[in-house]
Amino acid sequence: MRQGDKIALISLVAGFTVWSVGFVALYGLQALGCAYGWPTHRAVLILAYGILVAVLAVPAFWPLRSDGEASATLSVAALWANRAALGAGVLVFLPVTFTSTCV
Amino acid sequence: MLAGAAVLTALVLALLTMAYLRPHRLAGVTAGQWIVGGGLILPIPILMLLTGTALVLGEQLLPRGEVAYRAEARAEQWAWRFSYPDVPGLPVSETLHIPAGEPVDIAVTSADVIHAFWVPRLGGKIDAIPGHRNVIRLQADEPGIYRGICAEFCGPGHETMQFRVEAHDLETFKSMMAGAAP
Repeated sequence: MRQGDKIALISLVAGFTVWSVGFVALYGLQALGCAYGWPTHRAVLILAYGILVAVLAVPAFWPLRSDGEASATLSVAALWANRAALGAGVLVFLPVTFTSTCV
Repeated sequence: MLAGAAVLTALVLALLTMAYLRPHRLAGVTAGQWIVGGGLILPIPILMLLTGTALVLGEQLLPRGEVAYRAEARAEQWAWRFSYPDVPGLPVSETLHIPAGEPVDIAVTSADVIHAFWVPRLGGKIDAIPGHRNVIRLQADEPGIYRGICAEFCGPGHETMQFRVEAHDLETFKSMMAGAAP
């Protein structure tokens, strides 16, 4: 496999991989903050949300340069998959910034 | 919710019927318009509305402040045991008794594996975790019998792990808790 195709393939799964890691990270931060009574719990969650959205935005707005037919097709698919991941991240992670965390 | 679902079902069925009976009317719609319209523009606002509603309802289920009535639910493979911390003399039972029209805090825990406490008609569900105490606030608006189930697979007897919630009018409930028969 050519180098360009490999990068395009990685880019194809990049957004939703970051999304999955982000989901687990937010879940973990929410649970740890409640368990240890962090005074800055909400700020930590908002910061994590901001970082995740910023990281998800990179592949969503930064298309790969393609060097062949396969990588050109993959790059378009990757771009839209990563935009879907960004949209999913913005919407699905948003409630950690305002809903109740601990009871 | 049911009305919304009915409207959407009718809309989809009408489009499907039109595709068979009057295909020329839909001929002007391109594949891209179907995908963007039916796959994004239609479902995204609906999903956002449902998610927003779920968040608001979820907040309402949280046990904030004190309520007058409390119960404890202890899950084990494969049964539920209910008791009442304010009435320690009452025998532990497999039926949860609650007053109708009053919020009740139910502290849920488990003796062995992870289970989940769920009474579908009363709303949210919550995990029953060994060594941990989760509290859910439920309210039955009307007296009656509400069926509950274990909503987390917990072994070969999982599907039999059901229970009942009996919501009584307040006076009956109070007399029950005082030791009288319902």
